[in-house]
Amino acid sequence: MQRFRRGDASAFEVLVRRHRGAVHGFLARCLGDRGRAEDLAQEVWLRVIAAAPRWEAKARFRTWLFSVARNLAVDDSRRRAFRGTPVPLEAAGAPGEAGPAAEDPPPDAAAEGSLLRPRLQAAIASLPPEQREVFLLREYADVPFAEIASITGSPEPTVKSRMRYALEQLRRRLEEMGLAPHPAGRPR
Amino acid sequence: MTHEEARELLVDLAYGELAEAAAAEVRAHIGACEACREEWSRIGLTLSAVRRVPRDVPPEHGEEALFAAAQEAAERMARSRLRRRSLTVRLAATAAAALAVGGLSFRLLARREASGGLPQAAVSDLAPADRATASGARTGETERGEGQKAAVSETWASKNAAAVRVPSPGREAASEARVAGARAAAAPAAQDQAPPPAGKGAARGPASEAAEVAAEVDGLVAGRALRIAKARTRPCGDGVAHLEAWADADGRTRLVAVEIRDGASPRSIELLYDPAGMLRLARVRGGARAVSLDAEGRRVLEEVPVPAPWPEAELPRRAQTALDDFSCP
Repeated sequence: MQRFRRGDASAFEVLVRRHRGAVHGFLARCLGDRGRAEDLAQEVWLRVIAAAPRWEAKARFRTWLFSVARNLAVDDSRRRAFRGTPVPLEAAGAPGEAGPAAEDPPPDAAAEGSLLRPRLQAAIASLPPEQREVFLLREYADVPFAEIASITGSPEPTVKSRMRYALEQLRRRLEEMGLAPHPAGRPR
Repeated sequence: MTHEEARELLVDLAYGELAEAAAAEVRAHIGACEACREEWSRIGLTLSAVRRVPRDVPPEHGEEALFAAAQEAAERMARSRLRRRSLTVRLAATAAAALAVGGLSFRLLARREASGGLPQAAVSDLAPADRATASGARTGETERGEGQKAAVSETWASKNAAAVRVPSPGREAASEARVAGARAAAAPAAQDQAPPPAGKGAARGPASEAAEVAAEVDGLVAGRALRIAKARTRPCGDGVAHLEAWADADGRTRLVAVEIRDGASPRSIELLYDPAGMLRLARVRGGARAVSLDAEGRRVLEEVPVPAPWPEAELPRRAQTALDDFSCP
């Protein structure tokens, strides 16, 4: 960011390429609407450009970046609620939606992913907002718990508790949906 | 390590956030504690299920426009740094010259210190060489003023480079509009930084007044202070135009956003109104082509030449009737 401030546009490109996937992943899962996520992701980067002249390295760039993304997502949800716009469930599926049974043999990994995606999105959407944002920031944006605490303004132990509750609730939801957890699965 | 401590650290362990010693301690506890072993297993199974779904690959469209906006911003910031550096050098040179002229300059500096500035009478009292030096000092002061003005303009531009939300059904067009809006927002700032036209002094022109209205409206949008008051979809050529009137807290329409989808590439037009409800700026695709209008509706600034005749005569001048009066160009 300091290099960009000094007039080096290539430094901005490095920032975008480094964090683009995480920002988009966080927003897409947060909003459940990939199109809206694209719009907001672009807005996040425009805010980075706008803030560059006044940028001071008071916090890590990533912490600040995801604070911006989170605030935009929260504002967007509030605005849609205010305008009565239904939250798209294009990828989410209704919580009780019946899908192919988990034991159906998937033709390949990509196909399996496309079958699982709507149910995972529905499970994530069913989490309470404060648990969902912690889970998304940790799992999809790879933000450490201490930084999530700064982003959300919550104490770090609270953030970790929310993560544990989120994982437990996700497990239950996925089980209800017939998504048998993969036996080979172990935390990284 | 107690059971509770170890249990609290299971998620840290799962995400590799523990130092090796702490991780080993937690692992040892997991080996000895059935409850933690079960929870550890549940965490693993849940994350495994989550990770079976491949991550989305973010689309790359829109990146070029974003990088172009960043390039412009980087150039502005570089120019701003250069200006500040150059000003510092000039002020230092002026100060050195003032010191070099000797006793008279001491008297000059003493009077300046006493009065808090350099009085005009002091300049006329001086010999021609000294007058030139004093004039240099005054020039330095003027440039410092312009430097401050430039800094204000930069802040203004930065503030208003925040995305202009064009509520439209065409996401791609709106996306382009946001980037173009951010780029266009900087353009009036560059104009503010340019020296004023000869004979006009520092007087504000209609273009800068229109730019102020644009800055104000963009600020309201960025600050979420505008709400959709009315929306309408109407036929436009072979397609439709979707219009939204955005009003401030007092119910005054400050922005009318129009999205036209008629078979050609989607176009968005933003109409920005002053507090009195008069059209002051029209931006096509968020500002890639823009026209500022004075209070009488005359064109005073065109940022990029518009190939076809600009339909300003067709643009509704009054916010009150904008949704009804809009004619498809």
